[in-house]
Amino acid sequence: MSDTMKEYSLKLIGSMQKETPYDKVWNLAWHPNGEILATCANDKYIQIWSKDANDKWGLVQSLEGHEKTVRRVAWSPCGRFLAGASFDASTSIWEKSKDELEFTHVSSLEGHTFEVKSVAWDSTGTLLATCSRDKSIWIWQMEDDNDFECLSINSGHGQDIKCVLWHPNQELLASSSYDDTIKFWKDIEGDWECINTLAGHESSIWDLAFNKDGDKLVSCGEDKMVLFWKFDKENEKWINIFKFKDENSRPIYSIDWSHLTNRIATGSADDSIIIYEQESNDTPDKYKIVLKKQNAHDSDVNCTKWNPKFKNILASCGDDGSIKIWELQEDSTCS
Amino acid sequence: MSDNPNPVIYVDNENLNSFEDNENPFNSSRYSIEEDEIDLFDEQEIFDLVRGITDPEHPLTLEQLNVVRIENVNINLQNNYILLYFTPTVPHCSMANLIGLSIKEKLSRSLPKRFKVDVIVTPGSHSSESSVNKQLNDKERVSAALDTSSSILTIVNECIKQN
Repeated sequence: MSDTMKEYSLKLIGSMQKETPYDKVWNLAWHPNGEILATCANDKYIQIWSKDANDKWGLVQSLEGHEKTVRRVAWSPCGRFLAGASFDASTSIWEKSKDELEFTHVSSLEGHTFEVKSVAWDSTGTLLATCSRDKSIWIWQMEDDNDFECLSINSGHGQDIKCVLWHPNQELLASSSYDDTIKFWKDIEGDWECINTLAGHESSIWDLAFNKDGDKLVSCGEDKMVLFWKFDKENEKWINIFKFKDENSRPIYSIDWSHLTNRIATGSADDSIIIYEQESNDTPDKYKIVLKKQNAHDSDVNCTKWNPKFKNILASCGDDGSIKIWELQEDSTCS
Repeated sequence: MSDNPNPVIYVDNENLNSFEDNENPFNSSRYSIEEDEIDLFDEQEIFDLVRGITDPEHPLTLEQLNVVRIENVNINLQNNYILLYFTPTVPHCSMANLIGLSIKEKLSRSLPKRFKVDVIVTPGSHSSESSVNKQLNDKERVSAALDTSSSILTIVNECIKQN
């Protein structure tokens, strides 16, 4: 009998370049249909990309409106709306026309006093969370006629809030901050309250991702660590179960957990992308590195996102002004 | 009011002028605009880039104030990595973040993009060293501080504008 050795490679299958070299592309988001990408950058634009008839990725539309860098973008779960969080302290909402790739500005959420750093829709598509350097998290409800009402303003973090992310199927919000903590927020009888604070990181936490079921969370940060957290049902709190430290030589800016393959991808300021997966079927709380792609970009990798529809397809963007589409290939070889 | 109204000046103006006349780094052919052309930097060249940055509070350069020193410039050419320590003139200097930001921005505008640059306070030289370092090396905060039409950008531009 022979052992089956799995070898992995990350193959570049698409590449797009901003017109100005070294524009910082901060963030990207796959449309729920897996065929459209939204990106945002320091040139103040949100841009929409898709494949043409020849299977080549290209720019479809540039959405103008922000006065400063757009830091993050997020699609509503139905794919009809796109939100952009900007350093100009506002969050813009765009609506996609029904049959075409055309977007119109429908709303602008104002209220934060400093840069908005992150925006996220909940799983039902009715709630939106934004966070800012002003140390607050705002929760907005989408009304009919594309109007947004602020339901709650939450303070609790001591510093700049870097990321907000909703649980994949509950009305539970996670946030991460420059204060080195992660917090969970929940609506308790009409008031949003912080129900759990996770300590473990040694510096700012840049990004968060839930697994498909939402019983695990990963976080990454300035401290070059990737931390795995699990919901402990008995004690009703999140606990740290696993850690990677110093696999990267510079801060880790992004992390994403594929809900199709259960693999995790990170992007770092050392220009690399790392893919992680569960160590084995018998060790649900242990993880290993599958692959490290050095020089994935010519500068910092700011964002890595798994395609939500097509397995093993990953998009990344960075300070080199490029957006790349990768395919993680599993070549099973017998030895 | 200025934190340090009478700073010690370490380099006299005569020397500085002779440096500017003869060795202006921007006129030097050693500085290549081409991204893909590998050229070797040394500590002197990095120092030359930052020595003429002016203090936000004084009409003096960081070299004159001994904020930057050539021995505090470290380069690892193999890894395209530069680590620069700067020494605020007084331990409670409220301008430390702005000075650090000016050094960082100057290097980022002048060096090929392959370089990774860390600018941190010389250990023991500032009362809130770790918070200055954390803020200075927070890429998002630095980008926001230097974004379009920010007031900080105007000050930084003034500091790194070399005569």
